[in-house]
Formats: sequence, structure tokens, C-alpha cells
Amino acid sequence: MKCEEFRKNMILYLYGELDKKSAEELKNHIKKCPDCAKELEYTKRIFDLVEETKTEDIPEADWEKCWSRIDKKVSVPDKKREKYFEFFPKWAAAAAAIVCVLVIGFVIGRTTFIPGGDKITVTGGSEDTFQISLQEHFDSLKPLLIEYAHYSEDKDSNKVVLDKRYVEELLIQNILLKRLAAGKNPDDRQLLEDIELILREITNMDKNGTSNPLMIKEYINNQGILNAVDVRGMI
Amino acid sequence: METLDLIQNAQQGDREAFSMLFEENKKMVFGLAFKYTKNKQDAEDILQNTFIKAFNGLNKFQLKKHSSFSSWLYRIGISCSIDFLRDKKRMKKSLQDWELMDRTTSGSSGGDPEKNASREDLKKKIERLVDDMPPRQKMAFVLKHFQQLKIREIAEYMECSEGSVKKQLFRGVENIKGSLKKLLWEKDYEM
Repeated sequence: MKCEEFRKNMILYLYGELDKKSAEELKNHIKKCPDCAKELEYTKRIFDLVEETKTEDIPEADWEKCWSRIDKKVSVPDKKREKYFEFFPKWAAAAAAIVCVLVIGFVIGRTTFIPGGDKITVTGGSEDTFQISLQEHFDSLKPLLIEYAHYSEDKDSNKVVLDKRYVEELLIQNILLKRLAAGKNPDDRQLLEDIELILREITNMDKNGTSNPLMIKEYINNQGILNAVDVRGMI
Repeated sequence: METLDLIQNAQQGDREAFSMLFEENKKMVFGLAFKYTKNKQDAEDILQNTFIKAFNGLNKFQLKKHSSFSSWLYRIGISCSIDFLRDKKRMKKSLQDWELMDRTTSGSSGGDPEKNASREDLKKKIERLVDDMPPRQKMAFVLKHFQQLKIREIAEYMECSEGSVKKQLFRGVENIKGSLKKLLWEKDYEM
């Protein structure tokens, strides 16, 4: 066996997960090979340093706050949720594509042609910049939220299809702003958390890019998200 | 009430039962998330995502003789932590795309701190290296070094082969060794 092979086994040896036979071979090799002996000593030293970086003091989480958020977000029972995801007629795909084009066009149009809406300027450094970017973020989200809030099964299409990449970008922006809002404004943070849930729902729920419009509609309306976004946008 | 009953009730949509399952397992999930993120706020976010995901997937959980609810939850916690780190890394990349300065990592530049590296410096460097590992490599590393799990258990939780875990661990350790070699090897093990 070459030194390289022994060196691979060193890590397993130090974990105590090398089989007896290989461990014996390694020990015998080390007696004869000073380079490998050094390497083993060096690896052990690294392991000791890693051990020292261990965080033993795990803080207490704010359990009540965590549970209340979980409780709020699991308010739609699973069975009800499954019902929402029942069969979508295939004929709706063409109509859905039109809705998709309109929604994306509307969103891109808003962010591209509204004065001052063509730049994303998040610096995290100043309060002013943060305020502006939050408003821009809400402006970008509004068409999407309106589309879902006014969704109706009576429409020609009962499926909303979106550009997943665009929604993912909104999600990233939202996560960033949520972090900036942490500790500054609890209302903003709560609102951004609600929006994050919606965006995650849209991006993660279905790999094909479709999402559950009824459940999202219910959530937007129950939480008054559209109003909150409007009110926040006016500040 | 026994855990088994709690699970069965929670599967019927009993939120009270689910809240008791949360009570039983919250510290374990939070502990894992905190060791992974070293940040209370992030760990709380992971805790929430884990339980929301668990609630939504409760009906998929099979009540078998040997299947443990906490192991299942732990697996979800791992997957949520990896997803969280992916989001975070993607967010970091987006920030760079937007030409933002990441001031938090700027401490690594300037001067030549390696020359007179103290033990504390070395530990900080290791923390940074672990933090920058790819999500799955970091998870394997955290579970092995900070949770002291066996490779077999890590493979089970991460839903991959033992060989794959070994590979991730090997790369992680080699990366740290390579980065610190200059500091430690030349200093103490002159060749």
C-alpha cells in the first residue's frame, strides 16, 4: 500500500473507525515511515484544534416565539392541503401560460419602468438605504401578491405558473431584508417572515414550478399581508 | 401520553399532540441547528422550518417497530440546515453580484497574521474554514466532530452511502490541513 492510501486511512484511524487489520497495517507503516508519522501527528493536532472550537454552550431558544410561529404556519391541515393539489385539467396549461406571461410581464414592467425602480441598492449600511430597498422590495412583490390574493377558481385557469427563478430571486432578497430588519423593526420582520413563507411555498412546493394558489390566497388574506405591504409601502 | 400516541394523534391533525412532540424534540433540533450555524437566530429559523416540514409530512412518517420519530425529525433537521446554508450561500453570492462588500469576512485580509498565529487565531481560522465548507461537507463534518456520530449514522441521517460520508470528511479535513499547513507544519514540524 502506498503512503497516500495510508494517509486516507489516518482520518478513519483517528475517528476510531478503521477496521482492526487496516489499523495494524497503518501502525506498522508509521514505524517505518517518518513522513507518515509526522502526517499522523499533524492530523491529530488539527483534530485537537477542531475539538477546541466546539461550541458547548448552546443558548436557550425563544421557545414560545418559535412555537407560536410554527403553530401559525401549520394552520392548514395536511388533508386540506392535499385536497388543494388535486387534479389540474391539462387544458388549463395554455391559459396558465398566458397568465404566467402576464404576471411576469407585469412584474418586470413594474420593476423596470417605474422611475427609481430599476436599481436594487441594498447596502445594509444606512437606515435610509434599507428603507428604500424595503419599499422597492414590496413594490416588486405586490403584483405577485395581488395575483394570488384575487385568485379565483372560476377563472379560465385554475393554475398559476411562475418563473421560479424570478421568485427565488425575490426570496433571496426577502431573506436578506429580513436579516436587516432583525432587531430594527419587529413588524417588518414579521411581515417579511410571512412573505418568506409564501415565496418558499411557491418555490418549494412543486418541482414543476406550480404552486397551490388557494392555500396561498387564504394565507395572504388571513394574515392581511397585502394591506400590511400597502401600509408599509406608504411609510 | 406515549410518543407513539402523540404521533398518531398528530397525524389525525391534533395540534396539541404536535405541540407536545415539539416540546419533546425542540432541544435536539435546535442543538443540531446551532452547532451547524453557530447563530441563535438562524438556528431558530431552522427549528421552525424543521417542525413545519415535519407537520406537513407527518402522514408520510411510518409507524414501524424500529422507526424512531426523533431520528426522522433529526433527518429533516439536517435537510433543513443544508437548505438553509444553501440559501445563505446563494444570498451571499447575490450580494456579491450586487457588488456588496461582505464586511464580516474582511478580517481575513491584511498583514500576515499567520506568522504569529496564536492558538486562538488558529481556532478562528478553523471555524471560518468549517463555515465555508460546501453544505453537505459541512454537515458531515459537524455531525462527526461536534456530535460524535458514527459514519454509519451520518450516512443514515444524510441519506447517502458511508463511502460518500468518508469522502466528504476526508475532503473537509484535508482542506483544513492544507490551509493550516503553513502555520503549523513549518513552525513545529520542520522538514
